Amino acid sequence: MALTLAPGTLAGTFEQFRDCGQGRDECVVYWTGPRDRPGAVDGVLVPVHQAGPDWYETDPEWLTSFFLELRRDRRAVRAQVHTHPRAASHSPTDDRYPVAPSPGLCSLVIPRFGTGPVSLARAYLAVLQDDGSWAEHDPRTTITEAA
Amino acid sequence: MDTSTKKDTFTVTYNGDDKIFDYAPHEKVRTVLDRAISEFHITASPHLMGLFTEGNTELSDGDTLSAAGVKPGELLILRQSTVRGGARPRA
Repeated sequence: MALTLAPGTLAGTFEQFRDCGQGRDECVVYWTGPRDRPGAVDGVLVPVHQAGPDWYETDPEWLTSFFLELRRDRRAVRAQVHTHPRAASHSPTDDRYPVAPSPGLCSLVIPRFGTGPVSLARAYLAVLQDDGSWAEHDPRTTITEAA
Repeated sequence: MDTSTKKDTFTVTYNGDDKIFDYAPHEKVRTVLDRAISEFHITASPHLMGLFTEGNTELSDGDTLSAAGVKPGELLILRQSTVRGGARPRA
């Protein structure tokens, strides 16, 4: 699924990664959008989470409240976005424990804790398929940010 | 004469979407969980999904809906029991 980001989404995401991860820990955000506008992203949610240099885990109680909030506001998670310490890839942990494991979910991984340029050039994008597998997509053609 | 068995309903919400399910109180949680996983097209790690109350209590797979305390009209949340990621598994 192609994603269209509201202006400032990517810069805000990198800012969060730098502030939270401090160049030493991973971090995660969820990109959300209105249910009736498929592919649109106009929200960046920072979950309650724990993290270390090569892992993160979202708080389970927060997840329940998050899903209730999405229901109330008629919104959906379009992508999970998180950092890796070095080059970006999709690890077995990333494959197995996504926030909303249904087809079309995008999982974007940003390298070097998000300390590099605000860009998708070295990012890794995986999209969940109908058969439960993840397929690599080019983030620069799948994700565009509105001017 | 209507001889059909009347069933109650509850609502399951997942990623902002709602679906309404018929149920009988003696049905196992596992049975309706499998139905919800199918209806919402969960394709990855379905065995890690669970049904939770609004108070964040996970329903036990082996319980009946009655034993789990599910009431007609109740709202349940379908979600992964664990959400995590990262370059390596957490030590």
